[in-house]
Amino acid sequence: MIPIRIAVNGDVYEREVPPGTTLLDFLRDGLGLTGTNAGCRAGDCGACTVLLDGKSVNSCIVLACECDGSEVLTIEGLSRGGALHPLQQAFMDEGAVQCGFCTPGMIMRCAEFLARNPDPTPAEARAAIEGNICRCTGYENIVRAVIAAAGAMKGRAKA
Amino acid sequence: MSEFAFIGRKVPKIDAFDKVTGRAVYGHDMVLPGMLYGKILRSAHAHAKIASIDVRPAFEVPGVKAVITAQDVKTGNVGFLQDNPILKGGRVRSFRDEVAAVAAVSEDAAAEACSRIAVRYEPLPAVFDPFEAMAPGAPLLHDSAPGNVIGFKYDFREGDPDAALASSAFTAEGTFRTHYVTHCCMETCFALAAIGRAGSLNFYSSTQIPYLMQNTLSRVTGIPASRIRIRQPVIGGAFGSKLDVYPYEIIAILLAQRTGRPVRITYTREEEFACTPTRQPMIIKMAAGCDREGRLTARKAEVVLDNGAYTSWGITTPHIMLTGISSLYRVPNVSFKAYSVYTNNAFATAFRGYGNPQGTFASEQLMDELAEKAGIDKVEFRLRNANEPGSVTPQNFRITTCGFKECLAKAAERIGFGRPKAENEGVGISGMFHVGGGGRVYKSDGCGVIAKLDDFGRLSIMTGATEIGTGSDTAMAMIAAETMGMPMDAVSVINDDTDVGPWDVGIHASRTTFIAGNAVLAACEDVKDQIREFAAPMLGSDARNLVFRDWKVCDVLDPSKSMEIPRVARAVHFKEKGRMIVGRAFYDPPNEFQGKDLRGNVSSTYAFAAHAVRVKVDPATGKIRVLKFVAVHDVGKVINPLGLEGQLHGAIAQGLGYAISEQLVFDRGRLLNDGFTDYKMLLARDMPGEIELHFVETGDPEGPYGAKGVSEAGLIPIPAAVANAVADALGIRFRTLPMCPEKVRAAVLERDGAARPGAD
Amino acid sequence: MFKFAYHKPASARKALEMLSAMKGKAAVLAGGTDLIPAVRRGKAAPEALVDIKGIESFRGIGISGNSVVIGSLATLADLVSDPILAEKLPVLALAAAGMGSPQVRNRGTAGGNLCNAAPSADLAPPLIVLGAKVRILAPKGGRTVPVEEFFLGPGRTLVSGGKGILAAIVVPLPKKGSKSSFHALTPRAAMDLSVVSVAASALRVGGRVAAVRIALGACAPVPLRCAAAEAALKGSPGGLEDAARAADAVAAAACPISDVRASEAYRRDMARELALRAVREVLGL
Repeated sequence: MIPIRIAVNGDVYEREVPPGTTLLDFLRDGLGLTGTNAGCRAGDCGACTVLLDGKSVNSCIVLACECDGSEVLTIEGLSRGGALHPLQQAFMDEGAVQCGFCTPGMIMRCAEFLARNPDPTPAEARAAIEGNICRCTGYENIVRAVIAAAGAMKGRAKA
Repeated sequence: MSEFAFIGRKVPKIDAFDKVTGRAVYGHDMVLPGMLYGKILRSAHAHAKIASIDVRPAFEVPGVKAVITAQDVKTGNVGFLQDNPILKGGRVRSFRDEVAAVAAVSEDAAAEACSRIAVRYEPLPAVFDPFEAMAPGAPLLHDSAPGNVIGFKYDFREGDPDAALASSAFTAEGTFRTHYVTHCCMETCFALAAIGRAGSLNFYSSTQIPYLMQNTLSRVTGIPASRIRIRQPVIGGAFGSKLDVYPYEIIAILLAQRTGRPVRITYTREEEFACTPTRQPMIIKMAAGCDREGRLTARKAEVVLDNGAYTSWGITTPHIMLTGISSLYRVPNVSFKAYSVYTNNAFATAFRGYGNPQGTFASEQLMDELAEKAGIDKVEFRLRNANEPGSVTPQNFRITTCGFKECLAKAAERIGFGRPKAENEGVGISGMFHVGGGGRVYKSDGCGVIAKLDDFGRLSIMTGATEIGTGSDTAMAMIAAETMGMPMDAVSVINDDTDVGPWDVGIHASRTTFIAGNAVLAACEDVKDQIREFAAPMLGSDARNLVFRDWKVCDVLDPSKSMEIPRVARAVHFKEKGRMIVGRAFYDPPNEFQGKDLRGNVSSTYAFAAHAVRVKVDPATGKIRVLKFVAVHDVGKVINPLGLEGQLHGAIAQGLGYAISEQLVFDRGRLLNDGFTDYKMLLARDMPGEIELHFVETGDPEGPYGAKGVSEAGLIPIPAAVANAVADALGIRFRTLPMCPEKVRAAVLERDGAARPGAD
Repeated sequence: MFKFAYHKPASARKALEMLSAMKGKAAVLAGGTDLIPAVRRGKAAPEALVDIKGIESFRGIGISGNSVVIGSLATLADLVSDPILAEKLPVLALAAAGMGSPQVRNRGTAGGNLCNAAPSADLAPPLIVLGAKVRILAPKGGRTVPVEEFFLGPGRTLVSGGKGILAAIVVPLPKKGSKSSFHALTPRAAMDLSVVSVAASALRVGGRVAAVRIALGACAPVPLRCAAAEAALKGSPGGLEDAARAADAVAAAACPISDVRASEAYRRDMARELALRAVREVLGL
């Protein structure tokens, strides 16, 4: 067992984990944060995307013990104080959600993207989600939602 | 201004909040107290006799609670022909065959135990091609099918197509082959079985057919259907894959019975690829003819289906394939024969479009070829033959509303048909015909709804109509809110429990918004009638003059007379001899079950569409890039533009994948690409550069607010439209799917090689 | 969950000690984007993982003398966004940008791409044509070898089996006026492995090709440097016919396999086509 100290959604946990436990399983089974979904467990689909020290990663191919001393943000931690993150609101409003299984990973990926590129073009937004598979939406409304969220975030920054 | 408060407006999905916040509970998230994890050991051979199975080593793994093989269980089989044993005893017939199963305290322990089960096989000759399977001396898969040909066949005939083809001015024919693709639901399969009081079964499932599932689980396990309760957590995609009951689901029940603890089976992504059924592959021989004026004379098709080792819904896909072949355009003479052949391959089930994409891939390419031969513009040729309102097709389908000509004209105009194009660019078009008002493929095509008005004026829609991500429950809520004059957030939809919702046949055939929508509409009318009955005396109004708006019941003649719905509900409830207002309805559409002659008005209305694409092919690599995609659909009436767009965008992604990139690759029955890296679904950057959607609103008199079904329609014409565009770009007709780069490149080399001798 | 021990040494010396003590049964963990899925599928079964992410000296991208030094822990995302690479070695940034997905690039490392030694490793061909070397640390001292000599076969390199650790990639600054290119064929725009990839670099001096390098990926057990193709161009006027001859030589050098991604014939055909594109680009044709 490896002792780790990890901050998840702002809460610090000190736990012992078997070396082989992935960050995904630690979040889902260890902390009950089932919003992060397991789509392939091979790093191929992006459904399990979380932010690890601000960077989007596939949590299925990161070991929990590698995250000692790190900060993790999951979909459950994205909305603060009851207010939805603009991405969450835009995904609802623009019809970017169907079965929803890819949605948390998609939103977390875009959260990093918009933090780095607050004023993206649709082509850039499309490239940002190139590693997140969605079988339902054909990606069109997701791209639209990312652009809408960027607009909302700019508006909020001004206000 | 729209006359409607909600219908036709962009309404976010009612389940979207839970999904964007990570609160939605999927099957993968379900953990019951004491729950065990099930794992299945599968065959190591495409065809073999099982000589022995030693399960003892599995019990050496700590935490193993049960190991079962065919010897341990007595059950019926599953599958359309009930030819698929739950656990295979004497013989395995494909790599996916279930040989043994384990329940253990963790996924890891269950997997480890499976790997330790020692199975001795005696390999048998195997066959992977339906024509080889029919040849004399081929290995026989099931005693019930001599020569491996299954007795369940399709044979339809209208007029005399042979004579009509013989006397046609122009004919075209070809043999078309379609391949294995898979649904790729983002949530892999799961089943969770818990045995309750007196042997009753609580079954958690992402099924599309909760009520038919009760019957099947009962028949196979012997548990009375009255003691089987199906509950559906949020479903992470289905697309037809969950319209049947599969062995793993029964195995979860058997393990739960044996251990007395809840058992959950969750597929890995690799199992999902290797072990779930596919879209039905087909070999289609088709001929079509037309007269000098370009009027279709006949269509003739003979179809061979590679059934795989067992039989699910794949064998019945010719049923819907035939609808397009007989009824897309006006064709006076039609013949259609289809049969299925057992092989040691994967078996197939329902998948969005249900045989119709395969048939349309053939028929719409022949439309292009006939137009070329007749020297008629391809769009004009289609317009001359397009279906019209008020017509009857060879299968006795009664076409009521039909915006097909508008669809064709709009698609052609928006893609720029006939305008100059760059080198290696091409445009293609395809029409589409599909059921749009349910499809009576079972004794009932109905759906029940209970609409309960509570003391706070909130309306709970309780129904068996399942939500699989398409947004059908949002459409139901919109129809309820519109009909009741209520706000959207005062309507909830409860459709996840067979103990609660009235019966529904299942979410298939693009039927749910149409059928369940009509049931909701009728249940709400019942609620309104009950409110009128009570409110009229209270308001001193004639019940016939009461209308519903702004969450109130109002007198249309005297606006001062009105009462808030919550107040009405309480007034009715909290009084002597009080009552609650509960509406109910069961809507079974006015469509017909087809007889053996395959005639009968199977749907109460029909959907039409035209898709047009512009492609650019790189002849040096064979890569096809879709520059622009135009989809024009007769949807009757747009209920929710957001949901409708989503259905079509998603269908375009799946349909283009089917046409140009997706393929399960097998080597003698063994799957070679069981991951997302090598199963090439189109990703965000692979989508067309531009997508245009247009809707023709024909206002179907039978549809809720005029709507027709659309979810499958968006996929059906795509392989044909792309093939026609590629033919336009390269002068090469692809009769085999997918049009992947390597195949396109090979065809370009062949074309240029054939051209070279003459030029040299 | 997988069964292995996990160590995270803070120094290269400590890491090397651990690897030698485990006698080939330990694997080096960097980004894990290839290793963790391989362990899950049973394609690798190390008894221990030695996580080198605590070794600061393996980080960073910088200029040292006449070379760009890329720490083996530099992520693919670092390669995409690093200003030095953007200015001096844009072909590396281009190759990195085409690999995996943003999530994979955030985690996967330059060293890991080479040490995983897939025949289709997309960093290898551009590094080979840039004349890059890898700096290897081993218990008995270190050494620096050209990238094309680092690979021994699919999944096998000079450091496999705990024999050493790749510390850095050293890329000489390209001569003024030299150009380099990278062309990879993938069915999709992202999340794909190259069916074939070709990199080329060339320097024209006085109407002749003074220097040229061509490398081919996914067409042999290891990434190949194509000497015959280079010979076809070197000293030539560098016209279209020369480019075509070089492309033919690349196709002739290819010894691809048929697999689920492509047939041998298609790969050879594409090796020629991509070589032609790569060479034309660097020759300005």
